[in-house]
Amino acid sequence: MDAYQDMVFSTAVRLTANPAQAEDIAQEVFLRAYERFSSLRRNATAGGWLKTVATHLALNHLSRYRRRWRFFSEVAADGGTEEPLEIADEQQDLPMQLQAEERRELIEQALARLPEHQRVPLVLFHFEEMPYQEIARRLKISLAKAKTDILRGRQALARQLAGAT
Amino acid sequence: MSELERQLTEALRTLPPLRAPSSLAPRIWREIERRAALPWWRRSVAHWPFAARVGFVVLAVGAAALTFVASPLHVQPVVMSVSPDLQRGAHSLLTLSALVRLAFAALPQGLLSTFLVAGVALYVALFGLAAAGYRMLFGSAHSAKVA
Repeated sequence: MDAYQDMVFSTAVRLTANPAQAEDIAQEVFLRAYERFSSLRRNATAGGWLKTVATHLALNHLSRYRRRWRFFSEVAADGGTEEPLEIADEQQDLPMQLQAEERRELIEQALARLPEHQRVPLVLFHFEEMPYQEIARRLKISLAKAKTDILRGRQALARQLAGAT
Repeated sequence: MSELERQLTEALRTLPPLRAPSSLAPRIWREIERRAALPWWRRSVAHWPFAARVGFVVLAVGAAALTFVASPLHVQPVVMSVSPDLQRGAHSLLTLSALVRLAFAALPQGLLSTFLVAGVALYVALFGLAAAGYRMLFGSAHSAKVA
């Protein structure tokens, strides 16, 4: 468990942006792993299995507990479009001059501040290396919306990082 | 791939995992111990002994079959022979169901439909009102965050 707990927790917390919920999800992942301990202990892909289950549970958690609030909280001004937008990348650079640790912390904070509909596809794309089609399928959104949300999320992230320096 | 996308991709992919809280591992072990201490019938069905699982399936199928096949008239004598308390309970239940059936039969159908439509309309109105209130109170903060 020691070898994987940071990876499982990171996966959950980057998707949920909530450490308490991520801890619950990580606990559930390891309880499931414990039930399959005999098959996992000799399995070279145990890490991949844990990461997949963590992603799956975090996405389930988000859809189960937040779907009902989407109607209330998601304002149509953003995220409602189905068309992929051609948004020119702003002339911004990431704050590369910062120390690695400081930059890491800044990125994590900026990521957690993104709205859920941008953060989740962005995390799936960049951390889980999931293709656009798979992201759209998992989040039950159109391919165009998945691409747009990732693009906007990336720009919002860059803006936040640029503003933080 | 644009420069920004390239930089972000690189920055995100090279991010090390976050450190899990130190409370996570002890908490998991406590939960494992708690679950292990539970008697078998309080665990999930997948962990029940084989005989108990088979017995449960037989019982469930039997109960379902009884629901479809037996009428209250068939069941009542059996219930009465088992226990007087059970008999009183069954009697109350049958009386209540008969009363509900009578009440529904006595009400005009038009009135029932009106109540149903009014109930749905009130539910939708209340939901819309709550959504509008939420958007008015918290929507602006959300828009600011998104922008």
